[in-house]
Amino acid sequence: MSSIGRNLRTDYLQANEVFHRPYQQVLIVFVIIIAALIPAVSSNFFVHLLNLSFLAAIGALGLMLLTGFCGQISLGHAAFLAIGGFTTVILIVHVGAPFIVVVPASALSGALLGFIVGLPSLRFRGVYLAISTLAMHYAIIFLATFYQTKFGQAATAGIPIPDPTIGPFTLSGDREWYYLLLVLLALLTAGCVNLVRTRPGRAWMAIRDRDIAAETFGVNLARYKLLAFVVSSSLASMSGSLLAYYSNVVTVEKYTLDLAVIYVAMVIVGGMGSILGALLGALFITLLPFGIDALFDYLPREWRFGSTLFGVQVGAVGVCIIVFLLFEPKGLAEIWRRAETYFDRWPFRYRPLESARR
Amino acid sequence: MSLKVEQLTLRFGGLTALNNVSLGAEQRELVAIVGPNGAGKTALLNCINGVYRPCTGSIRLDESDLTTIPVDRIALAGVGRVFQHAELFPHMTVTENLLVGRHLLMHTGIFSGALYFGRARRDEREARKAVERIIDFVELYRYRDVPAANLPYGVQKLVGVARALALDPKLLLLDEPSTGLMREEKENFARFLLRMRHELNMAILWVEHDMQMVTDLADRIVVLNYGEVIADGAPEDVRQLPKVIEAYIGSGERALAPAN
Repeated sequence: MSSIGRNLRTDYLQANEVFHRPYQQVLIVFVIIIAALIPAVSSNFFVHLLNLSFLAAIGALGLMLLTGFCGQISLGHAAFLAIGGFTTVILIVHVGAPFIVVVPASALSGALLGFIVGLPSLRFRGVYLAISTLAMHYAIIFLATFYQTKFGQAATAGIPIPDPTIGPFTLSGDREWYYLLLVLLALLTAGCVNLVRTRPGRAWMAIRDRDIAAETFGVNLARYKLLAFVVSSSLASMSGSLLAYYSNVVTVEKYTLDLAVIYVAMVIVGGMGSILGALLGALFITLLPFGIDALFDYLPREWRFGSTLFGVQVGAVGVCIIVFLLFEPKGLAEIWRRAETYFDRWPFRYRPLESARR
Repeated sequence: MSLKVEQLTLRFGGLTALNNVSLGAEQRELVAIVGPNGAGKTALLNCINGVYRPCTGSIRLDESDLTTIPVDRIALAGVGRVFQHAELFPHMTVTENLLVGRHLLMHTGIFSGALYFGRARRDEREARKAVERIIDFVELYRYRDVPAANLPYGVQKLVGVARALALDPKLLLLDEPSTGLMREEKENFARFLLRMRHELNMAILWVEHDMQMVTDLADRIVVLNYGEVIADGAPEDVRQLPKVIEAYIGSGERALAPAN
């Protein structure tokens, strides 16, 4: 086929392709190869960090669909993670269910709860909806605390969880986990990308942009808002369940309001309304505190206080939100998009006239 | 295909927005609705569209009574709506806007959408084919992949029309589609309007202020004033009626009389 022929579209579906630029197809293959090779060349700790960001990315994908695409603000994401974690505990302790059953069951219980948490969205918008999800957060955390004090060995220690087994294999090392999470994240990302380029995703975006117009074109607002909550919370719950297995412990102290805000930060920093943004945001916000930790090592000894480090780590997330909202409101995904359009036109770059520059 | 609005009354508290309004539209008929500001033109469209629920009266499209159908199902009955200020989905491209217009004619659900396989692909391909035909019809090729918010106003209004056409409507409700357009854009729009009337087999209710355009294009004119139909007939007849002239320009005595 000639080089011109490759750029002509012969099928309507070609307009809906994700990697429509030729170099993008090359790039994604490279990304996959590099991702597959990372555990072979990097330290255990770095693989551990990537595992944490993959887990965060699964949750961030959920919040991105809900907030970035459907426009429903939620501060309940930590609660959904908690539901995943505690469903995992309950199923292991009381039922003895295997990993293969527990993770989907956690996603399912998250979906059920997402339906309930989503109900206020039929009446409330914006800040009021955020407050109602916040109320749900505290209700769920209360239930989780109740469970933990009743069934946990000690009120503060949390509930231990054994390493999961799939058939004859036991997942224990960071490297085994890395490949499992990588494949799972890739599949879930593909699913989300497909959702937002077909009918349900467009319905969500229409609700986000102009709900009354969407309704007159037959988008059932209640149905699609609830669907967004259900999909979002089941992804978060799945992430929570996997995190419980990965860290071998479930404790209610992890699921603070801070965590919910950190997920909102991922979505904002990554870029609202972009699946790529959810991945980039999760990676960025997860690695940020560790990056600050590493920077602290370069400081003179007398400045290095253990107590200030934590404050700086938390504060940095807040600073990131503000900086991105001010200077790059569409987030990391927009920086990526600009780079792509730059190379689309390269080397014929638009440059303002010398005389017009002032 | 026919629309029959019978004895429609709409009140907001003590204010009667529509009083005993009856009108109809047949297939391939371009019915213009004119009247001064606040006469109830948009309110009438909103009633047909299900955004407002009338207090009394019926709205029949063929066999279905639109006053009893939920808002999001009215499009399924074949009613396409073009809003006065376009009301596009600003962060979506023109193609995506049109695909949302086709929402009810598609079937992809949450699971088949996530898998994007088999039926979902077929569904998507057919929808895009239909949407491309409409883009072709209203000559929007240049703007296919442009986010709606970045379009000039005149183009936005045209995209609004295209989005309504995307659901293959039996009845098209146009709310001041040519207001704010430039001369050339208006002439273009008149051409599309005639093509829609002659080629797409739909009834069109067209709210419009430009009397020149209305008398040139419409098959029938309905004049509303203070929520009541004061004239209904062929353009050349309606334009001559003293009642209509009075409603539009006012009579000498009334203009000088103290308010109320």
